Amino acid sequence: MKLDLKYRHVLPRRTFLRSAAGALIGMPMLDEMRRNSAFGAPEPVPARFVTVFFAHGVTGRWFQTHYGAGPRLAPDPLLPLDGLRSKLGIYSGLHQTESGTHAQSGVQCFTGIAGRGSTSSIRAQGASIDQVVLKNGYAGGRSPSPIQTLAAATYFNTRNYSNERHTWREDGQVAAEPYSEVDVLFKAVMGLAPAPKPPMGSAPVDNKKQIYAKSVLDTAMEEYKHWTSDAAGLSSSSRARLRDHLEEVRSLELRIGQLQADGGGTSAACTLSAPQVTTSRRALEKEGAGSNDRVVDAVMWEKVWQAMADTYAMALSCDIARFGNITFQGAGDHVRFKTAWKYKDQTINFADNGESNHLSYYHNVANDENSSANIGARMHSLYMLAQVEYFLSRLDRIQAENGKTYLEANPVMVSSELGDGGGGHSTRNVLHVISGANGRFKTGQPFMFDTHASNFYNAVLQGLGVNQFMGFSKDAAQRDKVLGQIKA
Amino acid sequence: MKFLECGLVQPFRLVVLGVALATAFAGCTGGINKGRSSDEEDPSNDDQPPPDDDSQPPPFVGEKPVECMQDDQDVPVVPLRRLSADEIMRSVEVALELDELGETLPVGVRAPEGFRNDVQVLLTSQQFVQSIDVWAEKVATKVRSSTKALAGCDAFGDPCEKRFTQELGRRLLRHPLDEGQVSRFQSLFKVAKDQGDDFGMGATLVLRALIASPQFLYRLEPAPENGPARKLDGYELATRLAFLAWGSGPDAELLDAAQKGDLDRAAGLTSQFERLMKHPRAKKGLRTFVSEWLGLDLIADTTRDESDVPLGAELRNDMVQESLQLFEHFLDDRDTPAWELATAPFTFTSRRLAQHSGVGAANASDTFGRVELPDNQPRLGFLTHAGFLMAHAGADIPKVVERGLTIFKTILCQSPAAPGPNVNTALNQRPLGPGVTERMNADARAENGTCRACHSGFDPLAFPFERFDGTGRWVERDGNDNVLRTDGTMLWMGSPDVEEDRPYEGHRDFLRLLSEDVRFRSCLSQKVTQYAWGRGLETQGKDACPVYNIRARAAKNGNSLYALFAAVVEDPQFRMVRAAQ
Repeated sequence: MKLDLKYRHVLPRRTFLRSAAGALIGMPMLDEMRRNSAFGAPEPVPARFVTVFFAHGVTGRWFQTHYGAGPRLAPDPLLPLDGLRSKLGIYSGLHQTESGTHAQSGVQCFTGIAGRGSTSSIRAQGASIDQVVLKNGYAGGRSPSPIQTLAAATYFNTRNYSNERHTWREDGQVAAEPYSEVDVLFKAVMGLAPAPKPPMGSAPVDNKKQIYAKSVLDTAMEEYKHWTSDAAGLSSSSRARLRDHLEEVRSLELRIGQLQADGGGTSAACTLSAPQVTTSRRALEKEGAGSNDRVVDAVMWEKVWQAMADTYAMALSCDIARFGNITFQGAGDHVRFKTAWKYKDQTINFADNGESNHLSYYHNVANDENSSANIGARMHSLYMLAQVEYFLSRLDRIQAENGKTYLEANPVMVSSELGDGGGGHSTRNVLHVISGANGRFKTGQPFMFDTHASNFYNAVLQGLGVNQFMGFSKDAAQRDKVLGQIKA
Repeated sequence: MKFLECGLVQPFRLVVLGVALATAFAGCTGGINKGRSSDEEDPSNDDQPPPDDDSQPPPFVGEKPVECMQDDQDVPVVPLRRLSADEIMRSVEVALELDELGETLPVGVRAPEGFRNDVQVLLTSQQFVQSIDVWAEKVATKVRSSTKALAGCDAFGDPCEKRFTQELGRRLLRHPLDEGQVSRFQSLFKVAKDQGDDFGMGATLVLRALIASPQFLYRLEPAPENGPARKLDGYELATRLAFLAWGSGPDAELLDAAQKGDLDRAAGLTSQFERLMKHPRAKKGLRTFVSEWLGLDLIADTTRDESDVPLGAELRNDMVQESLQLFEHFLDDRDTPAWELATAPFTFTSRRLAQHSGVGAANASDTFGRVELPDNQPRLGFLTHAGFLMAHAGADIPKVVERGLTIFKTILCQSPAAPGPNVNTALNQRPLGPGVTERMNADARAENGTCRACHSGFDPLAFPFERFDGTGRWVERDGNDNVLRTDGTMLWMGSPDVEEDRPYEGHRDFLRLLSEDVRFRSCLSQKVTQYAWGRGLETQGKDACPVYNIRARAAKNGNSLYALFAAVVEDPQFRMVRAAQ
């Protein structure tokens, strides 16, 4: 399997950055910063919100030992966040205690309320925080980017529908199906990127093709306008669904029109060469394939994730998407690692006792930090958070015009489905991380709470200018108490 | 009782709402059409089914009927449905009278315990809109040279342009276009002409615009919000019929029947449904239903240790074909109840698959053909097909939980409730090895009260299949040289009120018990209904009455696979629509 994610031919609008592969990435102006430049104006709701999910969480005790209450543990799962600590607020003591399974708490993560339904078809009982911000940030709940919600995930367990889905609409439906194959994600993202302006002297674009495409969509739009009107006689929910579709057609039509007007390109071009990598589960599974005890090549999986994270970051930097979720391993996923894996100068030799990380480690975490289960779980959590760090660091390389990075300027939240874990699926002390969101939230320090996670979400919403409750708790006093501690 | 301890769904106990039998039953089954003034006023309803509905027996002997509202509330709400990728492609094939388009759309995800046509997973996104746009352009380019045949002419100008637009529009939008629509789509010919292109290019633009239209991509059935249910018109009925039978839009003949009003009469509706189900396209539709229900699409991608058993693409394809062809056989056999699929003493196989399955390759031909299954070999019915067993084994040494849950949810239509907070679901399984089998770990779970509450519902359903390995082969020992067994005890529901432990000696005994279990028999009908409605069912709630009625109709007609589909159509509520609240 060859890994070669290269970006080529980039025409930046304002600033540039150097990507992981060493090429330049164009960065559109972040209107979040532009809007905040007005003196004295109330801060608008952020224009973007992305969540990052990782599986199995981090036990609350490890948070405490890492941030000072006791000797450091080895391995230390929170190590990867240290490099970005100045740009993150890192929280524990947040509980999502209504959930009893990975599937339920996986949905509760970012929605603040346990999923409902049977184990195989759990759905959300409310919107995830990225969707709440989207709805409040734009008139009609639609952002100007072509992809309203972008979801990507690399995972193995396909039994439970909700385990790798972490962006939900208010009606409990998934906001976007996650792309699980890097090449498919790439095609979707770059298929919606503005085409580069052709070099001077090159052959003109096929303008006739654009005229035809636009005419076809114009005709279809007239049909949508009729069917979304009162005269069509459809129910309001049906009309709302068609209006969503109409907006997508309109967006596509506008882009084609733009292409036509610009003679085939825009100056905000973002171009990537296709990643030569596959996320095929069959390619990554080495033994016990398809089972709950599958052996996965940790090094290769990391490379797949990095290609996915790079592509996702590119979509954000090119303004192809502003909201959504990226997931490393589905909630409750099972894998076994046999291979050694390197994190910076550490070599992690995953012990293999013939069972998955899920069963061997996370469900056997106990008080003895030197037990094989605790050590194994910390190894796996370190691996997970190293992947999170990779994505966050990509966002931290996207520069904005006021000198801030994407990570600094926008809210990016990280969390998981488990807290203390153990055999009872403890969802106490679920780790949460949020970036400074353009100076709104404190960074550079850890916080220990003892409150329901939904109070934290509601505090974040309030801090972002969204005066709305979400999730399990509607307790304004609790929300304000949390906000008082996290607000910069 | 074990089921309720775990919060499991108990369709028969909970669905039966305790009603006065005779009157409620009569009202239930005939309720929606009776007393509807619209029917009385409509002379076209002369040959509506006579009130013999009132004498319709219950689906199972002794089953108490569900209490129905006898009003519009019993008309199932079918939400606005976007066509699935499969439905889009097939509809264009039917409209253009092609067998295969040669251009494919990305297949979407399956709904949990459901189908790809489920409204839950048919999301709208920019990617979807763009992929349709790109796909339609490719299809249009392919058929450009044949548009003359469709139009019967190829000259710019009103007669030819209009004829083409009207006919293609009617086929794709499943309804005659009004003047405004004709004019709107027809104007695309002028766009092509202005660019110096020919009639064929104009025709391709019309085709692309029709494919992008909401009337093509969505099944639009206007109904007043919070208002009463209304009768569907002939074209809407044609659409429902065709999507159920073929997984596509209606063909020209069905649209003609709608235009003539044939579908407004029960006999006309039945006659057209009969025609559709005899057409080869019905097999395509059935394949989608079966493949998605049983998860046969997993067979191609299931990963197994192939060092001893190479699983090439051809063998995997044969595995899929085996199940599809058995179901096709049952669709043609209208005298045999569908539940005999579970005990069918014959299969359809190639020599290659027969060798893998151990059914006597000598009797199989190089090409696919029917093979009888005598008692001295392991196969019996679709649940012992190698592909199904492989797809749901979960590992080279099959997982009891994986297989058990598959049977429990997919074949018996039961739902395991999620464990509550702080319930320890770490199963404490001993690592498999010499002396430790999956069955032993399951037995250990059964000793633990917490585990037993839920696992007793589904673990035992995997026991009879223990000797089928992760590739679906029949083996006596597992990879650790442990002797495997297939005996056990099944919690059996022989009738809605009978629940008892029944021992079985092996998987063949078990399959006979299963085929008599009312949960399985009921599930067959529920799956067809779920597929027809494009959404999950609430058999304990709002869907209790229509689902019961459909089961009762299928029972009345012998419960053949055909009867299960026909029951959906024959139910009076098939002809009604009610808006979502």
